[in-house]
Amino acid sequence: MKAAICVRQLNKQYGHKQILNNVNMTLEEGQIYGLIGKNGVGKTTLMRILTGLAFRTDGDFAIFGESEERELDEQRHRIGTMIETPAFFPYMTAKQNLEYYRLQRGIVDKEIVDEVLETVDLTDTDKKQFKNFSLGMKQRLGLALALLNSPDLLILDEPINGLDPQGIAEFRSVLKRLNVEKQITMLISSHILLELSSIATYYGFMKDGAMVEEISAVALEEKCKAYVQIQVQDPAKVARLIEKQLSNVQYEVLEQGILRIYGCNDDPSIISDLVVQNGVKLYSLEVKKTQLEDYFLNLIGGNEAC
Amino acid sequence: MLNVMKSEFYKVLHRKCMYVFFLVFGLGGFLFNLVLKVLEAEDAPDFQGNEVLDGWIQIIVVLGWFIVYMIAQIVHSNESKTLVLKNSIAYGTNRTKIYLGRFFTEILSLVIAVAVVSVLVLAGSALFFGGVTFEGFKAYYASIGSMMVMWTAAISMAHALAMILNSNTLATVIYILYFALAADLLSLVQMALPDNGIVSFLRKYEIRTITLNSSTGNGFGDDWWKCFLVAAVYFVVFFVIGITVFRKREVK
Repeated sequence: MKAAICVRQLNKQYGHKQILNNVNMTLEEGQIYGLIGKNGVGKTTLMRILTGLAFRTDGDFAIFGESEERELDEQRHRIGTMIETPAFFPYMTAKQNLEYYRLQRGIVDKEIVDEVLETVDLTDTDKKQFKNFSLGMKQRLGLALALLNSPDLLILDEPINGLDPQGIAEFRSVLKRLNVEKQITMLISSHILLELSSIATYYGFMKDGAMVEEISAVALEEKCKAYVQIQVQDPAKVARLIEKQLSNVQYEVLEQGILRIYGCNDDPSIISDLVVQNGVKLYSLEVKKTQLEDYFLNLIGGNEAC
Repeated sequence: MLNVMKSEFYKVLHRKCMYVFFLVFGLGGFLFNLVLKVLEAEDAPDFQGNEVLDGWIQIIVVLGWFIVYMIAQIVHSNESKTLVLKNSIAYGTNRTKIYLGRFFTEILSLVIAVAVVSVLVLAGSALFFGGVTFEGFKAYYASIGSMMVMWTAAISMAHALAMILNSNTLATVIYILYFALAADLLSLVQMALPDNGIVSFLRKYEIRTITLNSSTGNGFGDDWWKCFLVAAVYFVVFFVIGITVFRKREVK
């Protein structure tokens, strides 16, 4: 697979403040890349640099294999973007705003405006000016603009912020359809992690301006698989018992007598029987699954959950 | 760049303030004739069409510096608030093309505005004073044509301020203060430093000063080349500053 975006050792400083710290990232064509991080870690700054709104202090990046400034502008014609709050002329309607950009971008096909409005379900706004749009409508118009030039890559910065649950579901559905039907690659940032988990095929976790982990959705699912968590009086003894009698089972020993055992969640009685029959006091037993949010919180807190 | 201009004109045509502008200044020019006709009826000396045009020129020469700023702002559409520039830059539209596209849109808008207002002024003159002579017409367009050169320099400054500052208010304040106060401030400084060559030079060739001190009724008369040179300097300086800073500016 070819890389749509490749970032190497990217740094960004404002004065003495380091915003991006040696960021490395690879977005392959066809992926939906979920860029996850707390507010202020540099997700938006990274996207602004990729889209030419801000300039890097150091490091390199390439879009569709091109890294020279002049070539980057050409490649950006293949990108649709929505960075921060959608911005449009308040006194113009949805159609007029898109027509402005159609003219500016030299897009000959006049029907494209109606087509993208239909894609995002904004065909019935008529004479309503942008200043009177709801937040959801503004977000959808932002997506319509991003689709105007039939992009190969979408860069969306927190696109579902402020949307109601129905709006989120509709937005997610549109993005999935675009990825499947038109093979549009996507880079989406968000801190609404559960929503990303239903569409992203790849994740990048950012912390303090750095990329701490890149991982596929499949690998993350594997890492966050279900486990049996027990709290016992003698964890060392239980660990020896597991190694001796359940040798094909993975486990980890945590603090305060807690063990996590993977692969037994279908029949947790195997564990309880093992512990009790060998005279170890069992304080608690639960079947658990690490959610994406927990994985993320533990990751940026410095402790991996799985 | 032509695509940028097309889109900018499309946007301008959807701005109500553009029509208000034409209404106010177009009607203003027409009604200027009416006001003078009323004054003429009240024991004032008989006005001729040519004299009316001269009067109009005197007004426009003073107000024009601020009128061109209005045109620039109509094109810029309160960019510091709408933040729409990011959509163009993120698409990869060349920054130089954006700068030039908007700039030429402003200049063309100015030309159209001057043409429309001139037609209405002349129409008023024809209606109330029987029109103007060919000489009067020539003198009017010589003056307006000369002022267009000066106003183009002013647009270069207005455009640069709008494109490089993040605050529309700041850009407006700087522009208004400059054209309202620069000449007077330089005069004060010259009074304090009468032997300072640089101050004298700056005062003499300050753009509004040199325009007002020239024979505006005759397309600046013999001083036309000095005025045009000053305009060219202003144009180039602000153009270079504007485009250089804009290309390196981070966009919100």
